Amino acid sequence: MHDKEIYSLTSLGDQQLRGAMTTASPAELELLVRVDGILTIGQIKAGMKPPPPDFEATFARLVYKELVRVRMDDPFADQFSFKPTKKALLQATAEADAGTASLQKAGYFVRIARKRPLRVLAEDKEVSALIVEDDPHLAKFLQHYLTFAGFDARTAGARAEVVTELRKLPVPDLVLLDVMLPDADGFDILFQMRKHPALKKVPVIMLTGKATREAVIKGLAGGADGYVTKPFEADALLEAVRTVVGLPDEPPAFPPSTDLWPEKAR
Amino acid sequence: MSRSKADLLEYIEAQRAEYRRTLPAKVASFETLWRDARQAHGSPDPLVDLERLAHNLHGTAGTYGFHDLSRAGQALELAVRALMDAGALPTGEQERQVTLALDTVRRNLPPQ
Repeated sequence: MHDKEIYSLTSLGDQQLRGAMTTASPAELELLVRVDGILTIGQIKAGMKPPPPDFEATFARLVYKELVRVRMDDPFADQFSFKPTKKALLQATAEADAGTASLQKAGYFVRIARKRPLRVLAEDKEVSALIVEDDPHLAKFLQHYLTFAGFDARTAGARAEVVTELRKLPVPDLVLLDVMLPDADGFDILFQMRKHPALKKVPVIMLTGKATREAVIKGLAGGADGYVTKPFEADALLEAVRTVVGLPDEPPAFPPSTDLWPEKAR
Repeated sequence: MSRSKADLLEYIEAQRAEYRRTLPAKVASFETLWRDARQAHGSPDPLVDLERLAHNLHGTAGTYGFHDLSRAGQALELAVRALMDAGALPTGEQERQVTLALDTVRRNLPPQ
């Protein structure tokens, strides 16, 4: 592995980022979200400011686990087989900068869920979930959907409500956490939870429209167990919820072919 | 399909219809916030609210299956963010992008 090599995700690596279950460590995930088949190892390192001291070892593990592979075809090889003029080089640099900015803004779909050990529930025990979401329509939808799936779900839409709910005992078995709240930042709530003795082990899934790499990395590095981007499919979210809480898989509420909104297909 | 699943589907459809009914009022509130922001010469408060509400539109509209509206909401969120990042000296082009994005949101409202 050297700084000029370009790596891309394998299908296994792609599953780690977009599948319902993630087994990679936070450090591995942080690198996986940066591998895009375009940036060189050197560019990835430069973007981490500073790169972690175990960068090489972590990257080697990704290769060993077959989550990434070196691209045999350098997509830019032809581009550099001639010497561009200064004007062309300036233009290409500007275009590359614009492209990077666009990529950072547009974000990408992510569904990450780290698996917890399976738990066995008593027959009358419900798993409790706190939904932190400021859009009342979405909060109500999520509450109803999780209740249907057998959860005891409650909601909080602003900072004071979140604090009140998190102070109630017993602590929730799961928190679905939006990032952009009217008077709070979901990442800050996550960091506070991870510092709190009673809340630090509560599974948290970031459920947010913030889909840039930086946001995903911030959530996972901050201790989130999962990261699901909005808009989302309810059954896919439920699968991620069951994974991070440690519940066995269940068939989805609706067959995969069921289109809830047939007149507005993607 | 069991009765309970049919109930859930019925509930979701009712929620979706209710959400659709609220959309014109949401867009009207976007327009009010944008007008306030322009009159306040780039005051961050209305822009912060406009960014968050556009962000919510992106997430909730998409989850309810209004995908074009969701994308328009995302474009508005990004345009407002660019304006806020510009700080005290937004360019005319950045303001025009917000107005255009707001027009796109309005055009993509689902029929009532």
